[in-house]
Amino acid sequence: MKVFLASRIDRELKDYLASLGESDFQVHSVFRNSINLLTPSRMLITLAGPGSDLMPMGMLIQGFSELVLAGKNRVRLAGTFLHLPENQGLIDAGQAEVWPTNLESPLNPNRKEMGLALDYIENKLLQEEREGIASLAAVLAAKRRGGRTPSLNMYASFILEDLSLFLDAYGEGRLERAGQLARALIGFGPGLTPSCDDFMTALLLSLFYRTGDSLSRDLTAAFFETVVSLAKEKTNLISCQMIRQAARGHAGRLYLDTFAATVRGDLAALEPLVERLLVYGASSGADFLFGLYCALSRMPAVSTPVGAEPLRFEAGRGQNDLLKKNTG
Amino acid sequence: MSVNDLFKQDLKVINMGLESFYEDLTSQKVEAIQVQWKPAAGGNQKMAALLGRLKSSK
Amino acid sequence: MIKVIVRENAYYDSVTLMLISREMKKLDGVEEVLVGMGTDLNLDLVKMLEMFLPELEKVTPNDLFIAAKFDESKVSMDELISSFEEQLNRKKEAHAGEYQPPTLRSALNFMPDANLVQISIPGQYAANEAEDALNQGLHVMLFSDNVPMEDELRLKQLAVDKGLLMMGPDCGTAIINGVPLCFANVVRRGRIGLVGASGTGTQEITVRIHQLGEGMSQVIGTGGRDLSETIGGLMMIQGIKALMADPDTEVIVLVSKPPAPSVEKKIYDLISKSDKPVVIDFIGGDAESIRQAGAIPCLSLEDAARKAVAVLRKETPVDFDGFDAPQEDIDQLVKEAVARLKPDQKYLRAFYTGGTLTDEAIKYLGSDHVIYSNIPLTPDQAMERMPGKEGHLCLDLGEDQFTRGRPHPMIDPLTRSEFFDTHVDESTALILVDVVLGYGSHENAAGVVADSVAQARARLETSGKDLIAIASVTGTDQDPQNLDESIASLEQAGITVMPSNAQAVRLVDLIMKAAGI
Repeated sequence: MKVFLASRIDRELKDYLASLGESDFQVHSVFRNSINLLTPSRMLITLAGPGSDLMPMGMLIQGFSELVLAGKNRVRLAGTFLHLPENQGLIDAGQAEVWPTNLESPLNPNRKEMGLALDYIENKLLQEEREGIASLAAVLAAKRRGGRTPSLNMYASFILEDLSLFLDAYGEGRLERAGQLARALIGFGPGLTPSCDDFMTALLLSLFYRTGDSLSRDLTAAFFETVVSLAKEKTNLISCQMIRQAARGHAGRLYLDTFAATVRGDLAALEPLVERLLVYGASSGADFLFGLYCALSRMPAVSTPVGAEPLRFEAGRGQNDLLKKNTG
Repeated sequence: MSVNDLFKQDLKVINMGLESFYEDLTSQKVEAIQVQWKPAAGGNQKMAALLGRLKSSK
Repeated sequence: MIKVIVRENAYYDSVTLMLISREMKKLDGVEEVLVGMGTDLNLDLVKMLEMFLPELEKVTPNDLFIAAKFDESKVSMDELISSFEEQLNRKKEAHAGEYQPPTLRSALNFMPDANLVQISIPGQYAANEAEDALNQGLHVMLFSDNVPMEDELRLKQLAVDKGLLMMGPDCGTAIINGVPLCFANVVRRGRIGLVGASGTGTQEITVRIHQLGEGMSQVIGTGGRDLSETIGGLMMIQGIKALMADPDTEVIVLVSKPPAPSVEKKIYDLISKSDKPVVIDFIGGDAESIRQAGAIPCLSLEDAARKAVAVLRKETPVDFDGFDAPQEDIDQLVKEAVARLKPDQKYLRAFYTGGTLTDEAIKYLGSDHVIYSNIPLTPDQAMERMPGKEGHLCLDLGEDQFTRGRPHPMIDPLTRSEFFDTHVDESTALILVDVVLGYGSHENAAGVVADSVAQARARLETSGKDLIAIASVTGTDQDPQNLDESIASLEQAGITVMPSNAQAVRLVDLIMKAAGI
């Protein structure tokens, strides 16, 4: 019998599988480089090849490309083994290297160097036009430095006003209000994980690992709860799981490492990660970076990073006007 | 690992550059990984200089 | 007109979704396309663009929708749907989610047991990456050219210190543990090992060995400058030592242009200690000194393959300078060819994509004919010295002067097609070409050159003339291109396909002599 060895596994997934002992999973979605399994409690387990990014509730499997699974196929968990349908053998998750998909210790931001990292991210976002909402970085830059507001794709135009209201509330530490305004963001945009969800993932990570601000734990916990319940209602299961995980500090290693490198202001580590993110998905990586940039440069009630003035959108004209102007 | 040790192993390739070479390998089921190689700082001179400074100061 | 397509519970990665949207927008008559997951907010956008239809009422966030606004007079619904389906099925191109680390170090984090790095980035950056790889204990295949000689020397010295392979710079062909790297053919595994400083020379030998029923243990490339005085044959020596110690290798083949004298001596010293037979094709080099070193010299790449197979099978290696086909068939072929030529058709046009194959052709033909070339035997036969169009021409189209800013003709055979337009005319008697198959090469190398010959022939037909076209195919029945179809498409265009480059060149020589040209 063919045995596929899992080479790496998310610590929580390992614990989760151990707690289940035996169970049946259903194939939820199949992509070229990953497969999602749906558990009875509607969690997604992500299988991918050894070269892929380890996701929360994910494992990397040697010989992944030889797996043939289709929607509605069932995979049976017994101990640390996943039995595959149609005599394809099994996946052995018991020998995998265990990795976390969250940060193990709090980060000590270096404000000055984080400012440089944010400058770098802004610079990269401005270099070319983006498909998702990251092109709004150009609007921010125009507001700050003067100059003309660039033309925007229709997604960016559509969301500009709502996003600016949300960021204003967030920047002022009014998280209850921000939670209400998030209703106008979650699930919006192109892509499998809609642009605003990638944006929100970055913002949630930033809030989760924030240090030295004056927000109460209760306030952030309530905000997380609101955003997660919005995600359950308003976006697809894959995107919802990403948001749910981010609200508890978990994310794919690429997102997590980028977040950590930005906060530490480690430009040498950041640079290759950003290059990688800018080609990740269609616009997901850029939308995440844009979220990181907005969230960290407007961190509520903390001192401003050196080199970056507080950034504000001005809630502008109505959406319809903007759309006509910019996509006409 | 000496050359003769290499002869005894499965080839595992890191490909840096032309992606078609990577695709040729994976189509033969050879384990390979493609490096998304770019010149330092994407050719941005100012940023490259900045990165160079930071790297050398560490 | 507005149309909506909904796929329930359909998950496609973001890149696929983006491609659908981009490709549909390219269709003439399409004004707007929205592709996304059916979330409330995405549907709000559809409404605002006045593209909402009742079918969208029941869409959920787990459904994929496409809303298109288009001009029916310019594009039909069917065209839209087929464009959509086509994109959905193009998963091969969608690379979303596949982790491509940005640096060698991060790649190693993901594949800690990697053992070889293949580098084809621009030459000015390549040496640094190769050095980094060697320092990490990895073997290197360096395809990039334009790497300075001093860097090559430093890299190879480092590799020798660490006992690693440093194949290249400018190394196009290797087969390690049965895996073809860069430009190489799919040949069976076997008991013959090869170290080569010339890419297509290595390809031709390995292909002929495969055709003779044997296979390769290891094929190590060195890059074209390895046997120069400066580099001192560091990698060829490293490769020979590895093959001497390799229990799976019973016969060793070396292929290169003639080495620098000091390097030649080092190699002969080394192989004289080999208890395995060594077959050497130093193309156009001195056979006697090879014999004195206890090795077997060769007349051609094909001859090297035949001799390697012979000694492997414990047979006596004999020089092969003839044809697979019976002599009378060849005589007949020559006779018919000469009869098809008009008196004013006098010149050979040989257009090669493989460097070593060109070299082999020029050295053979050049002994009895004046052959102008970009890699001439003597300076007075440089192509610039050819008096107008009057003269025999044999070109290596893979040389820098023809490939600047464009792909190598093995990758893009259209670059060769242009030479048919500019260099074949009513005075042309003979066309000689190579067709190199295998990984890295164009998927339809044979078809493209067949078209060129057919077009040239059609042009000459208007003035009542015909052409003789001769080719050889460096390819095996296991290459990704179909060998039989490749040969068939050449033959359909009236091209005589010979079993090797050497035989194609010899046939050309016989025809030239018989026609008195």
